[in-house]
Amino acid sequence: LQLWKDRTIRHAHVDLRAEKPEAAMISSTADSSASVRPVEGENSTASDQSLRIDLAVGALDAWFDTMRGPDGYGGPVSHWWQQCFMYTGAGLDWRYEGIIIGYLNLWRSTGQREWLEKAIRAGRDIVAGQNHDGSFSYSGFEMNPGRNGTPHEAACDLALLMLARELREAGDEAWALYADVAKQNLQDFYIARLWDVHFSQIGDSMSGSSFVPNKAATASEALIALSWLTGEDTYIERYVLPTLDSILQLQVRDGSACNGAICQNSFGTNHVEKYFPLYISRCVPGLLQGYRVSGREKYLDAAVSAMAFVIRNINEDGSIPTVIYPNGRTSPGPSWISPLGDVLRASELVAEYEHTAQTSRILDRLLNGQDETGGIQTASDFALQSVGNAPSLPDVRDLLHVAGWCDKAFRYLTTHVSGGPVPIQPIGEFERECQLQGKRFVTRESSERLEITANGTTGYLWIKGEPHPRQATREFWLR
Amino acid sequence: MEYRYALDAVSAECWRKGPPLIVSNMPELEDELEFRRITDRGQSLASIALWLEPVRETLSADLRSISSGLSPSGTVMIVASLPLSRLLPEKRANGQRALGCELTGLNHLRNALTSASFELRESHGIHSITSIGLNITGRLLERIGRSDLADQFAATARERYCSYGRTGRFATLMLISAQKNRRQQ
Repeated sequence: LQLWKDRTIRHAHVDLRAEKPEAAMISSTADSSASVRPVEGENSTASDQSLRIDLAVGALDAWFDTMRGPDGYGGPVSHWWQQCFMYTGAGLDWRYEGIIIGYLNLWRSTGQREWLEKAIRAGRDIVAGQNHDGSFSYSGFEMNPGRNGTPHEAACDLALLMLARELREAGDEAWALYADVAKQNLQDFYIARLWDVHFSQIGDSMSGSSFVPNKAATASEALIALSWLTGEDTYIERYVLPTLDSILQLQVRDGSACNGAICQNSFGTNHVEKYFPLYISRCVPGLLQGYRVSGREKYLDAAVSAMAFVIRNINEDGSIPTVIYPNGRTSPGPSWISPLGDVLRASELVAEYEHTAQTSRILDRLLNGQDETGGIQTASDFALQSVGNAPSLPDVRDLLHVAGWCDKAFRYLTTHVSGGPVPIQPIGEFERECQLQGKRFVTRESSERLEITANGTTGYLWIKGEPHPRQATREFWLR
Repeated sequence: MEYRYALDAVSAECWRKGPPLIVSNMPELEDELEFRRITDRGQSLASIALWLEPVRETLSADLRSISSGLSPSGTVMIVASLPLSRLLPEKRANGQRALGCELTGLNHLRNALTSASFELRESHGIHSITSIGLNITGRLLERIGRSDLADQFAATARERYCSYGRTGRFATLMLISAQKNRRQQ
């Protein structure tokens, strides 16, 4: 732990630029003004870009407020693995990672108390949703309703620990509550139930040796944050570093086109050779933290190599294939938009150590996905995920604004605001023609509702804040 | 998965119409009901009833209790396994009692509903035979190194998970909705 602290002092200047709460976790005497850095776009000046980001962040914040219900941030989910249209209540999942850390970023850069209050409000959602066994309610994201969601609970822990750190620095004794909740989850769920003794790694299953690198990386980040906050560095030696070593075992290092890629998962010694750039990007922060706490170059090398693989696969339009297969083929759809925030974040973290290619195309794609609601759309070409011809209209799932994806954009963008007051953005009404399973619909979203109609008949109606849609025809039962 | 899918579909109806009358022969689904905030309506008349896995032994009694606890024009939503589910390993172990698993079980259930003055409205097959076929094909493609195509088949299988109309019978589970006839009162 001491080694980590020593090293991070050396890196403090770059960490500040990368992400303020994490950076401040490393050095509490940081000058937050040093963190303000415009993103360079190819066709715009730095100040234009900064204004664009301020506006985008203001609109996202306004949209997030419309997604709150009694228990927290809700809404339907579209995802590669499954959809979740039928549970729309609060999800205590990785959406809270980006929301809480994003608001902390704003608090740090603007000094406006309202952002810290929003982070605290979100932290309270998680505290209220903790079960007796330490797990969080509705932590399944696309698999909701359910609990024991991974990496979702660790992502909540990480956010709570960031919040706790911030409050502790501010002299607010409430910090201990958030730290305790995260610690209970990490100990009683991740360590007590997911630690795989046989393979020495944080697994993904309470039975059998299932391992998912990006999920384990998130858990590692949370355990490192816990170590820092509590001073108990045994978490790092005993759990984090062996887990990161397992991630390295799943990385391709053969000089092929897939060099640097990390397999999606493994079952025992059986590696599933599919490469998801988004998930590979989510391995990067954990690997870099591992490097910082241990000084072992292999983690830095793995992070740099992983990001190089992701960057090599960026298309001209800033899109990245969702899956790259060992045979060189790529998934035709969906192609992420709002989730790209995590790719940009990882890219910047790596850029502190190694030159990486311009990612402005990704940023443009991300910002262009924002519409009248203030939310950012999830993807393009969702319909191409299945067998069939390309439809002429976007898929309903493309157009959805999902709290657990927009948080990733929010988290990234809040590290690039100007530092002045974030402009208050009015929420507009959004309306687009679209399709789902070959049927034409029109989707409309306002601050109060999401309604999807076919020929004037309601197919799906969700009143924001409610735990279920009031109406859903069978197309929306889709998982 | 198929039960979760069916309960998802039911959850929106229950949210819209209020707490249901629950008649369940599947105690293992209690957590899933709780996750969806589907709780029994208590003593008052319900405008919706949820009947999980009717079984032959209690069919008449369950139907009577639903009929008396349901408001006029109320809806009963029935989740019943179908004979195809016997192919599933988990069903071989514990699904023997389900009426819907019997070859003529579904007809028997429908007749019982009609006799009790319920009008059948809709039925949906869940975990359809098409979906099963697509998943099997996907696994074969995976084995020959075409995981890209396998993923496309898996996504298509999810889209075809629910079938409607005459093909609904060829699935592992059925979600039936029936409306109580006012004249019954």
